[in-house]
Amino acid sequence: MDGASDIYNELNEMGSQLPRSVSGRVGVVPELYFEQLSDRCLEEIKNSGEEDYPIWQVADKQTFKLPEGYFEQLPEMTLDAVKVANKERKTVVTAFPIKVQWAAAAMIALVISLGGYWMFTAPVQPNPEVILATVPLNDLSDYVATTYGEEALDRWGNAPAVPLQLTTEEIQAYVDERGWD
Amino acid sequence: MAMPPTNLADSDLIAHFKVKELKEQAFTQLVKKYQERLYWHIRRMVVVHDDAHDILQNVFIKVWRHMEGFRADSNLYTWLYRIATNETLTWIESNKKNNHQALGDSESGFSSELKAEKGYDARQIEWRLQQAIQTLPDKQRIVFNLRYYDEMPYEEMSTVLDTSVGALKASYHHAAKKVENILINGL
Repeated sequence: MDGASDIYNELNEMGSQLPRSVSGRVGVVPELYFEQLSDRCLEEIKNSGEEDYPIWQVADKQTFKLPEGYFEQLPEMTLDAVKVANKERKTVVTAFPIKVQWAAAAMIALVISLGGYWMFTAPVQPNPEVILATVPLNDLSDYVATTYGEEALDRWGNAPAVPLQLTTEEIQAYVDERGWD
Repeated sequence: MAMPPTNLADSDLIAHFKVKELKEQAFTQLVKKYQERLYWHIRRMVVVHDDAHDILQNVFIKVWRHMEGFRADSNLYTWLYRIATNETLTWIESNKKNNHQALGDSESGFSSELKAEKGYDARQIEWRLQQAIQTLPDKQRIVFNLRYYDEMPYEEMSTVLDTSVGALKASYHHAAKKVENILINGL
């Protein structure tokens, strides 16, 4: 605590006119209240049955109720549960004869093998752009000029041919659009 | 039950609390040491003795339950005030809800309960001061009471209320001015 003087100094600094020396204990307190309070609290604690338990045990005790003798019976209950689970498992397994199981496994293995073989041996389709890059530009120009010439002949008859000044990109775009045939 | 030794230091109380045979004695000693300060801290907030008693009893029951987990490096006194303050604010909030009061209405409720107290005399400065304090919002009332009546340093108040020292100083100064104005000019 700072002590009363600090409080009053602070009030002085604030220019406050609040009264000094007040206890703030203005209400009536029943006779012997403070003498009896600790006993009343202990009685309350004992009535709640918590006096011997630290808080974490109390919390467990209050929140989660256990069936009587739960922990004594737990090992036996666990063993029973294991036995029941094993029995169910056996029932499921014996529903299919061993020969059927082997046949099913062989079929699955065969399907997987064939799938893998097909996947890894199928010819890889080269990228059209890669193929195009290997063809000389002159050949491409001739090809486009020929195709274009045939098209122009179809459309405009014997009109004079116009010399083509095509870039690689234009040629590629044309080939992409028309295909290779 | 044997009477506990008087005036045990807090560190001894905490140590005795952890020994099963001494636990009850340590508890009794702790209650006797802090009961009046905590009682008045609570009573100034809720005004009515029965309500203050219910809250204080809950505080000590919580102390009984949690004391074994209390870290010795903390200050027992601020820890107790922290529990008492939280219990009081929780009680006020729940009381507001139960009474379907709007936020902030509790001040006028406590004010009327103050007038109903035995021995109330509006001419006496102590009662007028209490009447003025009841007009403050709940948290500001706590700050004012802790500083003005309990003379608690701001650093400890900061631990109790989980608020910065600067904010507490501002809150206290504001509250003191407001209370003073009411005392001078009336409600």
